[in-house]
Amino acid sequence: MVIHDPQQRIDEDALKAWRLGAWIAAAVYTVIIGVLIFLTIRFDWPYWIAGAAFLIAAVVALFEIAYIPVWRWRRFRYDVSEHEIDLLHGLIIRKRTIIPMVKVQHVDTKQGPLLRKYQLAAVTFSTAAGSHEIPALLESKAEQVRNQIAKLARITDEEI
Amino acid sequence: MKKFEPGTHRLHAVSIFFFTFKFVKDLLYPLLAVIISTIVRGEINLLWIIGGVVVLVTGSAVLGWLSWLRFTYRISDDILHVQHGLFVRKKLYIHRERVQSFDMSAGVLHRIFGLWKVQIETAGGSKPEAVLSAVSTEESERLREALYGKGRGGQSDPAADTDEITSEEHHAIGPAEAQASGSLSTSELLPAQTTIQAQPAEPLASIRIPLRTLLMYSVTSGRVGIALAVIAAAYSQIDDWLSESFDIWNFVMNSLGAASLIWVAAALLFLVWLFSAIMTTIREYGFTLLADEGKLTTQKGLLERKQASISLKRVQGLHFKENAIRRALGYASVHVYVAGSTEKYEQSFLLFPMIRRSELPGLLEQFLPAYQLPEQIQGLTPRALPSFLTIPVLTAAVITAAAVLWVPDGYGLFTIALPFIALLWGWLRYRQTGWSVDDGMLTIRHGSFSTHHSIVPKHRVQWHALATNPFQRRKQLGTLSLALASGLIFVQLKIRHMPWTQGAELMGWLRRSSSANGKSHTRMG
Repeated sequence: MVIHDPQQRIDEDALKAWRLGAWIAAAVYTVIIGVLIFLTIRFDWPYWIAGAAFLIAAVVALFEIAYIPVWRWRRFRYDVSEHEIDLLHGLIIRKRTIIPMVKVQHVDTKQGPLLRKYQLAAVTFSTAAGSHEIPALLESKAEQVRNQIAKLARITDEEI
Repeated sequence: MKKFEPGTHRLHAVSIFFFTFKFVKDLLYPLLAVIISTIVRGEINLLWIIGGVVVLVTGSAVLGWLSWLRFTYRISDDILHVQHGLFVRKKLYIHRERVQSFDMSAGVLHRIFGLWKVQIETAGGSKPEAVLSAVSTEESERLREALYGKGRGGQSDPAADTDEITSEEHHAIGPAEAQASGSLSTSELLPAQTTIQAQPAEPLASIRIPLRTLLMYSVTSGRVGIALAVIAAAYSQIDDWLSESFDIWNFVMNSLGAASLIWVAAALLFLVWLFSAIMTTIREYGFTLLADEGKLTTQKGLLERKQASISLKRVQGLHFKENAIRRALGYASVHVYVAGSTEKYEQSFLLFPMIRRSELPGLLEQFLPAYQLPEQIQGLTPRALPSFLTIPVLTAAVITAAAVLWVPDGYGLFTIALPFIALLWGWLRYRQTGWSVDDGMLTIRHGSFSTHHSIVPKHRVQWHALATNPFQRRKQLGTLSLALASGLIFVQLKIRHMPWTQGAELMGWLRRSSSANGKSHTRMG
């Protein structure tokens, strides 16, 4: 049995949005470490606490800024067909998710400040058992995908 | 006063008590605050306190009476109209087609007067949409018939049926008795089924739990198992200590303290166990499952009678649960996954608490004919075993190592059993995991000490996924998960560490079904 992987990618600007998010996170880490250093000096805490925190934060920030967005972007694929929505995602745990179109109850586009900055939007769709999303598409594309899903998923039967 | 429209009803007058009680409950805390503050200030004025209580109760009674007066309902054109509210008038309309569940319960007070509390729910509501706190049995039947399909009929008076151990019970357990006595011939099974179908009352089928089985259910419910294990362990300890203490008189004096402490603990546990068993017996007493057209209804309770109905259309899957003790006795409980809000926030709806495994096919045939327990379950390949063992055993080993190193006085040695328990647990999970595909139905078996079978019609799967982690990829394994709507949220059923190719095959099977499911609907494209 061969399963063809979905082919569509999310927008390349997603990289920029995710990186910006990672920079913001890095700024938060910096503040936390600043507080730790202050506490270390003020209350004579052992140095290894701040040291370890700094190392961990540096490594995490490096990965979050330099690698994870790229990996995530490369991994994420989706397809919307007449009968189903097909997602492939996950860095370490690779997950292939199929949502039958008849089960989609609700579809929406949503946009946080980061995505808005790059004219991106996420498409979220929910079933009676939780929701899924396509994380970053160009606004126009997101709207098109949303309308496509809404049309295909027209709820024709009350049965769940 | 406004003119009554024809067909408008009030609740039974006993409702006044319930409304009053609600007001008392709401006002209790302010009153307590006042009383406590007077006590704290040392100005205890008995007159004030008694006066306060009297005012509170009479005030609540008046408000309760007014609430009762203002609470009216009527049914017209398949719509339930409810008007209520003391100061703010609220109107509620529920159309018959929107009604998803129609539950009835009767507490002690209800039962004295032969009344029912009726709760009606519609889709999307997290709380019961309409609560009629007390209506007569006939009225509840009328409501049920008008709003929730054909009346169940044969509704016995809630005040009168507690001690009714009917002949129906004996018919219903016919198959169990036939099989318990060791004869498994089909000829003995058939009469039992015809008896059930020849019930005089309207339900298409009904089955009632025999008292003996119910008692067995009560004493083997989950928490009780743990309590029993602890008591057994404690008992063996006491035994050792006592036998030692007979030799040395001095030691008796020392150990008596410890021994009696353990006795007290054991006695407490026993009482907890007894109490929970008694509560379970009272709660589940006379558990009866009835089948109607398109509906399943359960009734239960010794003091408080409860009746809950689910519509077959909303059943998403069957969950057959065998805990370790019950499995050893040959029994299991049957649950169903039901979409929307069912019994409070429980995940699955208890269809029948305790049934002999051999009786299950008969039960399913009558109540859920689409479902069958498969005869064969496909197990996992041995290369999946390490995936089940590695993480639990490593985790347990780390805990044990840490405990042995750092817990003083050698008490850490007690944790040495942990890795072995983890090993057993992982191995059991490996052994239990399996699946079976049959005619549009997927059965997943999982569990460790307990065994669970989840039977799912393919068109009920909301979404499915096949996931692989790096270890699984090396061994070409994968975890298939599928989501079902259940209760207010959902459940994910998983087949862990199955061969990837078989996972992909199952996925293909599920996808085919999902497109097939859509074909009955006309669809633009």
